[in-house]
Amino acid sequence: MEPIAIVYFFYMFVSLYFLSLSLVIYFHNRNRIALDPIANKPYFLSILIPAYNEEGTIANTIHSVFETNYKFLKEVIVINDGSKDKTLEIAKSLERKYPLLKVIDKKNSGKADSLNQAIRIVKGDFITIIDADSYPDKDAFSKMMGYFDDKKVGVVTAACTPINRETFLGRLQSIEYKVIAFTRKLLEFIDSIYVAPGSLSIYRKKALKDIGGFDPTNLTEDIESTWHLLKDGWKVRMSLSASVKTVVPTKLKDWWKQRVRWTVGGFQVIKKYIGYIFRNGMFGYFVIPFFLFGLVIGIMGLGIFIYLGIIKIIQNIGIMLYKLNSDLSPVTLSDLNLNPTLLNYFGITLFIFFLIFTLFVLLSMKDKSLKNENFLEIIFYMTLYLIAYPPMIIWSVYKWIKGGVLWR
Amino acid sequence: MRYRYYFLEALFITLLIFFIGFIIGYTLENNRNLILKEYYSETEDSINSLFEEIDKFNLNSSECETLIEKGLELGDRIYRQALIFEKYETSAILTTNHLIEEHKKFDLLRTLYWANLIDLKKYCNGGSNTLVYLYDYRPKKIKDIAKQKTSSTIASEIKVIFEDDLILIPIAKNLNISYLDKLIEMYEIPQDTVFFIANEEKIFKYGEMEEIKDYLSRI
Repeated sequence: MEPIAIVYFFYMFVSLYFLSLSLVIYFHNRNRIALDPIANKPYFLSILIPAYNEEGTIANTIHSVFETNYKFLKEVIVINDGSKDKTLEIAKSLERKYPLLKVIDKKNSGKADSLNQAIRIVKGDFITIIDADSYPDKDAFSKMMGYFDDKKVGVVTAACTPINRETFLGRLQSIEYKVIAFTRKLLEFIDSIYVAPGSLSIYRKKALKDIGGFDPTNLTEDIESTWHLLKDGWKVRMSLSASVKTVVPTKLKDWWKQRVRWTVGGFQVIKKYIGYIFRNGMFGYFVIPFFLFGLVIGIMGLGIFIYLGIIKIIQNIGIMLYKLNSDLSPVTLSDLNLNPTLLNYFGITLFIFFLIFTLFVLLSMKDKSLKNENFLEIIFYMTLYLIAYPPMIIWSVYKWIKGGVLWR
Repeated sequence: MRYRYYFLEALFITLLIFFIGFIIGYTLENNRNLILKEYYSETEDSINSLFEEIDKFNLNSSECETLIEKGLELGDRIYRQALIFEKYETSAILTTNHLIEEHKKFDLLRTLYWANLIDLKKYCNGGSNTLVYLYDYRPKKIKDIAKQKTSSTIASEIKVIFEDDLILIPIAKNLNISYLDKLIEMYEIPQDTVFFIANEEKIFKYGEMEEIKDYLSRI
């Protein structure tokens, strides 16, 4: 067997392994996946909404928070992080309508620092973090709080879905968010949820204080805080039925920037916690290696792909030039090899497996959008992510190295 | 750790799917190789029979005509088989080493066929022209790959143009076939030769399609 074929098989094996792992976890826990524990006692909740230039969404976020059915709401604090638009005025104008609403205005210092300042003054024993462009469902908090009956649970997160699905990119992200939410819930069963996203997560105040709040030097404070909690032995849980709608980028440029930020944030946490690899339970034995491995094989795979691609292009240009030089047609039908190899069969089979998994996830989550989205969009989503993610990793590495100097 | 079973089960499932995939893949490639084996034995028998016939002394004109016809048919078959072999070879993943050996065997067979045609020409003084296409098996350099691809196209196009008036014999010259090396030595064929028209001992280098066409049209 050619060495390159071995590399391809290795990649397919790894992909298939993680797909199998997801299915194994699902089948062992399928009866528990949609069940949320009911809280045995009242838990008082403080809600923090950090906001920077969110004039278009802040009011709806505040309304949606007060429209939830959770009875033990202590306060809702909007932290205006030096917005240059009308975020502050809009939030302030709602204080009269909602007596539990407080608006703090401060100079711009970033999301993590804003949250840290607010944590110091909160009254509740549990702290909800909601992005200023996210809208929790009516019963979201009620469904999430029961997990805190387990004293070791440090944070509980919810399923996040895009609200703006009118664009093609929005619809693709809708599929993506469903798959992410489902697989994140599966990771709960092996104590390996690696992020409690800022769109909606509820922290136990004690846990958050134990880890010293959010790290302002990290681009993705939510990944960092989750890793910190895992490292210190706190459990991370997720309610798949608790839902929060969020605004997602609808322009490719914004989407790319967001993903690069997430990826660079991922690099930062890997760097910070790499010393805990193969220590501290599943955090060191699965979460860190999983991230690191994904990163390494992603970069390696892209390197191989680019190398082979360049060789193939040069070769084909050479063939065409030589053919033209000999008065031959540069491209002929006989140049196409339509005889599939075993690798092609494996690749197609794997793609079909992932496609079935995606459909299964969408059906399991009773995604109404599935009826509206055509099958081709799902295939396009899978292909796009397959193609877009490796270059994004490379670009993020570049930005990380470049940005590292600036962040010191 | 209770999760260990999840990881082990996933590993087992993955290994099982891969094992099944490899078995199917191996069976598929093996079936293709069996087809090639059949081709080989058919062609070997035909070449041996042609050899025996040619070895008879004093072939009369009707016997010569039959043998030339047989030789031509065999040539076409060998060319078609070479195309199929190439197709299977580029698609093989698990049995590539085996195919290198098979390729060598087929090239030896084609060399014997070429020798047969030389004898036939000698004894019967007629028959189709032969164009021996001498290529490198799996060239490494990009430039050589590009050149060879062009030469292959030239060979195929010439065959299409001249149809039954031309017998095309593709042979890899770098597989250490001693019988081929002897023929190359005998005809004093230079190392960089790509096309060799045996009956006139005319040698062409890479990319001389028009010249080959002109030459073949004249003879």
